[in-house]
Amino acid sequence: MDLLLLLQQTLNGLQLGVMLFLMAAGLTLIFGIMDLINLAHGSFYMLGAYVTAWLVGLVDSFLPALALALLLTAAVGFLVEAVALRRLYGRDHLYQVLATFGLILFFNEGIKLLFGPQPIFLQPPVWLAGQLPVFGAPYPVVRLAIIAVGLASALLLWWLIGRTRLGMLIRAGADDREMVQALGVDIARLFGLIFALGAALAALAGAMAGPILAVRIGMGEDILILAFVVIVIGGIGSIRGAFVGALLVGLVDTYGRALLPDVLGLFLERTMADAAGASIASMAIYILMALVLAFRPRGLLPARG
Amino acid sequence: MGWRWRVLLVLALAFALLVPWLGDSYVLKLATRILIFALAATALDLVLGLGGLVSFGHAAFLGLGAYVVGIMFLHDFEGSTFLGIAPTQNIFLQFLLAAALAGGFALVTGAVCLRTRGVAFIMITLAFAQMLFYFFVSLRRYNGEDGIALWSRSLGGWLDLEEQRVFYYFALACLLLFLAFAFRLYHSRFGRVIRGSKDNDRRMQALGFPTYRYRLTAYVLSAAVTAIAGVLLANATYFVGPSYLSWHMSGQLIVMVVLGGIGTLLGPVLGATLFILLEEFLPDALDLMVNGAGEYWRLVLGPLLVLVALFARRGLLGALVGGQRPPLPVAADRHSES
Amino acid sequence: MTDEVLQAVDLTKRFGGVVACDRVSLSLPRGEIHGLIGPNGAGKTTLLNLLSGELSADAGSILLTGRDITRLPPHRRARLGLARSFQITSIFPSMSLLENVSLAIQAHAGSSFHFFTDAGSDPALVEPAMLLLEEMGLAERAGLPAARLAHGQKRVLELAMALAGDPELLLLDEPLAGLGPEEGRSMVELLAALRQRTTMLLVEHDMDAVFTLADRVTVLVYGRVIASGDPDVIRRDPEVRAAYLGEEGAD
Repeated sequence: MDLLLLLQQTLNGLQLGVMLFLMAAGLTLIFGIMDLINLAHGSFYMLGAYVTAWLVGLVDSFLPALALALLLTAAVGFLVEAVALRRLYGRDHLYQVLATFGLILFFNEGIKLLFGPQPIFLQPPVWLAGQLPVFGAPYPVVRLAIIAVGLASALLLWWLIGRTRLGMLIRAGADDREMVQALGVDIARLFGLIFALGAALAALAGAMAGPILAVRIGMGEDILILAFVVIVIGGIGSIRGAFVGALLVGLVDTYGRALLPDVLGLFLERTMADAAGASIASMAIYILMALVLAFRPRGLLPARG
Repeated sequence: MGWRWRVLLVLALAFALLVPWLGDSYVLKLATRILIFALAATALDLVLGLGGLVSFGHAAFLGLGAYVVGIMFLHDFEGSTFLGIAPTQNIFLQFLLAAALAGGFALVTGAVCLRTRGVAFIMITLAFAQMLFYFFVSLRRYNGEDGIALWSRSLGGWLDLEEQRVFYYFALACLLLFLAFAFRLYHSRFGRVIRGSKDNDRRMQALGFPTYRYRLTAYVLSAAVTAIAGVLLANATYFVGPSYLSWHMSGQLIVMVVLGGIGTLLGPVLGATLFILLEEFLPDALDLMVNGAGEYWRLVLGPLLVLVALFARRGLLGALVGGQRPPLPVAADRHSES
Repeated sequence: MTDEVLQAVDLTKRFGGVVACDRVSLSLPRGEIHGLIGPNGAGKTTLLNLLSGELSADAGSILLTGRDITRLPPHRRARLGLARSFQITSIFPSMSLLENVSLAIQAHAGSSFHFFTDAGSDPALVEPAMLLLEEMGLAERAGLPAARLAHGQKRVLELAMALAGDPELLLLDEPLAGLGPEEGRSMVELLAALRQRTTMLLVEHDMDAVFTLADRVTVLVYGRVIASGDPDVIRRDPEVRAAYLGEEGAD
């Protein structure tokens, strides 16, 4: 196997990994602290992509558009939480599934109404065009930027959760919700903030995905499933688990798709190897999930409590 | 059960029996679709309502059943064998095959899923269903994303399933048979263990029940019946595709159960009816109000579901029964207060 | 057949740095009512959880009528004759009283992989259930949903369910919890009437109840047994008094 290709695939895996982390981080907090299953998290991803694309068209400058898109999506997240989801805390997960499923339908149709059913294109900014050599392998600058932004976000989150008062409240809330309330903290505000933060992170992932994948309706659902797998592997409520899980899933998925057909090609004839490889690769991360659960039912790095 | 309910049930049954003579083929097709989804929803309720397990991956079982039909058809059409075995177009054999396949998949994945609970369980069932979805999409041998178009339905022995009326009654028979079984199941020892496990699993174990075994059995049973509904679905639509395994489909099944009333025997039937009628007529209704709006009917359905989740706890059946009583099965237990 | 229904030897359980149970040993002969007392946080519920199987011990062993149950999960222990009631009432609220007790009986009445026969009309379940309910004074309410019961009646139902399997050993976690004086007295009467039917380990804060019922008493403080034996002797033990005087006003 070509070392150059291997290197590129590793970088691809990292890039997928950090994007998954951005999705999973907010989601795992919402699952762990608020015990709320939010299927509509992918909609924030989609909103981030669409709103950024739209604003770039208006403002013609990427970073301000991105910043504004994140703010807007966070605001939408805050609103959704306050209006629709707040009443669902503590309720049977079934009703949370129902409500957030309804939200997905609403957002998908809404976007279709505003932007039309065809995918739109999000132009990466000019200063991210081209390729850079990484250990001798040419690699798109856009993807490098995504990896950088993703890692930076991880660091930012680590600082936020570990070193700030808000982070302390979040960790306390993950351990014991009622206690935090008893301490006089406005739980409603705290939850709203966590939700908005999660939405912003998802929007960031979506906006960054735009230049690479297409900006289309329903794009959030595909990555959401992966984020679920990440959270299950990493451990619900655990940001560290989300980070490790995300990188693991990103790498396994990327390597699987790139390498499996070739590995199988050693035993099977070409077309069979390609077909089987593609099929098995698409299942690789789920098999990984099943394996992790078999030995560690609570994930690799479960949150305490 | 009050006499009012008995009368209603009889009327509903009479209506169901007469549908093929009441309307045109469009109505018949719609009614058949309702029957099939009623079957799938009732099967889902076995784990969802009875067991309290929110399975977000039941579309996988539906799709597996459908693909049994599709794959058998394709091989029969081509004249090729499937893994060395001659394909069968016999619907009863396909039922068996579908049940075995889905049951097996449910056994393996359920063994993993059922060791978790709550949010994790929901996500893992979804993940496994997605795994199958992507698997079938990647399967170019069976047309991947495009799916398989069926030129003929399965063979029902002496029953001509191509004849729409015959197929309708066949589907109705399947549904009624399963409803009868589900009724017995609900009141059986097994049913009580499942219900108890939903209420208080810790207590059940302290009493001496190895609850895991029972929940897995219920899960496998539910999967097998859902797959049978999948066989019917493929035949009804003359089509099989990965979309049958999508999570939208899983979500729809859950919506049907909740709309009708979870844990009640006939709730899912009601819910399936309601949902499919909505799916069919809401777009037209919207078009009447605002021209061209029909295309965006999900824009209305979405918030509707949110409202149902927030306010309509016991579904349609619960709303009809009314009052402060907790949802009892439609055929109330003899010893319960009535 | 051994005479000792329960033999727990050197049971130890740690949670992180905290030793909740420190080499606790306990031995209960058949027919004994054994009281387990101690200040709050002494590890009494932890010990019960270790005995019933909800927690697995870090060290030590447990013998139930001579059989080693140390590694068995809760449902296996229940099948072997161990029953427990919970401190926080743990019944099935959506089912009727009769269904609650029937279910408890069902666990010991053969296989539950029956899908077709109506459990509600199975005499093997209903008759013993009604008998039990009559004994507990709940027979007139048999058809009511369990959620509708008053707290005191729920505690009695809890006890009835624990008795359903004719257990060898009954672990009672504060059966008088939340009961008023009147209800408390009837609960004590109920328990006293069970004296010959089963061996009991009774965890309670109500000292009157404990000293009325118990043949022997063990005192647990910070996870360790500081005294065990005749109730009157325990009452006068200075170490025990110190442990409780330190808790004065809290109980």
